[in-house]
Amino acid sequence: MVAAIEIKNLTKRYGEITAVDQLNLTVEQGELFGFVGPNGAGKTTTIRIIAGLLQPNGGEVLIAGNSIRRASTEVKRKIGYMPDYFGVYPNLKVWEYLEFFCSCYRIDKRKSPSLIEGLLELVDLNHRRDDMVDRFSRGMKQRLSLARTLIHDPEVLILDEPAAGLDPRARVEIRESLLELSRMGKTVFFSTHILADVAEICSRIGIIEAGKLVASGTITDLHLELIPRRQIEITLLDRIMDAKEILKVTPGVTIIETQNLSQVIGSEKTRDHLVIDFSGDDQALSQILSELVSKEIPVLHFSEDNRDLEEIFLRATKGIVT
Amino acid sequence: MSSVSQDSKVKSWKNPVIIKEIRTRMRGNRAFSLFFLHLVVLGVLVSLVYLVFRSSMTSANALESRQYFGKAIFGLIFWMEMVTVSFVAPALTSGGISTERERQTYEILRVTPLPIRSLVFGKFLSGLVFILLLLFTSIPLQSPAFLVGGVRIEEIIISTLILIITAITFCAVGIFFSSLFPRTLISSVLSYAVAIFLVFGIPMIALIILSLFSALLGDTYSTISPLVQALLILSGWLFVSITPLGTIVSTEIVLLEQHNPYFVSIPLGEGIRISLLSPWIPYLFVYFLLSIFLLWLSIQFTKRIED
Repeated sequence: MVAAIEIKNLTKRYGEITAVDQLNLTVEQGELFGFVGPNGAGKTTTIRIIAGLLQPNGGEVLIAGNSIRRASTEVKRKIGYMPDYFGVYPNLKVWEYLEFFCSCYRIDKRKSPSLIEGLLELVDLNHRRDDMVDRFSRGMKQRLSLARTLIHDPEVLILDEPAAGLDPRARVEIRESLLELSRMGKTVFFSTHILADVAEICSRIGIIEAGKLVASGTITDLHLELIPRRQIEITLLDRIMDAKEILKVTPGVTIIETQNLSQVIGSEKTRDHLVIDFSGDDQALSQILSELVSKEIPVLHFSEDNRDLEEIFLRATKGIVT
Repeated sequence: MSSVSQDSKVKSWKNPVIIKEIRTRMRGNRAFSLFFLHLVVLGVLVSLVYLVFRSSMTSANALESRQYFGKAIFGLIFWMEMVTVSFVAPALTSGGISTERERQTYEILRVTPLPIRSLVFGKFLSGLVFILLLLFTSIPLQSPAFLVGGVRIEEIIISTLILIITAITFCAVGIFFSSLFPRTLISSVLSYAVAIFLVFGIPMIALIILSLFSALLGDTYSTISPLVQALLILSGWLFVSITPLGTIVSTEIVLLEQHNPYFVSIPLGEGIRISLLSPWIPYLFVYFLLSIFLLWLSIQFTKRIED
């Protein structure tokens, strides 16, 4: 199967500064790929090159096997690009705005009304179809931009910071929309510096710093690669001593901390909290849980510390700014 | 989500930029206020001219006065429309491409299959259509000139052609600067500067040069060789033919004196005469070519991908 996005040795220089440096990256079809990096890392430059808005100094970008240089018309039909700004016109109603872009994509005028209705439904703006676009809130403008991006039913969505500057509710809505699009079979490639977005929805991530891809893969792969040891939080209803005995003899486990939660929350019922340091893979981790359950230890909570993504990011990057 | 059809040969497809521009321009009170103001100013001026002629008209000179009245109304409306074209065309088009950049909609359009030439022509034509509509609405105010007579059909056709080609050129100038500069302010200033220079600047320069020549040559003009005379006349003719003011005045003089709308015959010394095209013909030709060239340049400048 042809990759949805294939970036080969991509280089972009602005005078003395190299914004993107020999970048190689492949995004398979149907993936929800998060492109993460600090400000100034080269995310937007890479995205603008993929969208055909910027001329690279070297390298190649293929969209579903089509070169952005040699087959720009075909690429325009395959990608939906959403920049990190809204780009709305004054004095234009929501449906007029989408109708204008339908015409730009040469969509049959007879099919436009139902298409617009479907898109507005998808982004939950159907009830605002006669409102002026320039009076929308940031979140609504972003959803409208997403609807515009989908007008021509693109295979690949290239989104630059889709959740930047949005309030928590709008961020959740955008995240849900991206997941929905991924479920519809679209390839979603989006840049962000909000790690929570990446952790919750991405199938794979790429970390870019100073124009170079410093890490890429699934979060689990990156975790194992960059942080061989991870912290696991376990909450027990009872029998902490038995649990500690089991964990002590389990390979790769070091107990860091134990705590009785009744002291913390002031409850009469007791809960014991354990934090362990673990160096095994997911298989071994699930065996620990099985072992505890099979010995009838009442486990209430068993999870990885979700601060690990930040740890991955900090370990992968060195704080270099181009 | 609804399925999308992408038939590039859809016959009903029109330039979406024109539709969007006209839709947004005609929405609200601004466009109608401009039309209202334009017509009120013209109406007041026509009424004033009518009152002046009515008070001076006697039964003895009734026919002559009526014809003068017709010409005065026609001339007045023409000049007012020329001023309107000079000031409205840059305002309508000098932000055509640059506001797309300023509003950050330019890149969104660039990733669609909309050809750049459609964007440029859409912006250009939507401005032009608005100006033509503005000119069209003033036709009823010109009707007294047609009723009382005094205006020849050639004058009407030539003046209309000059107005239309001037509107086309000034719209093209606005589009050109808006494609060249990313800021609308710079584009507007330069578009106005060019429009004002063509309408008022060149005639002023021509007058200064003519005065200097008259002072330098004095009575010696008749002693100059016919070849030099012909070169001087040709230079003056070219100067006249690149400005709307000079073109319309000189064409009117030729029409009144020689009754020939196409050629002008100019006497040189030693009984030699030269025939030149009436100034409105080269004016239309030069301005048409200039418009095409500016629009072509606008497409090239808009096409540039960032380095």
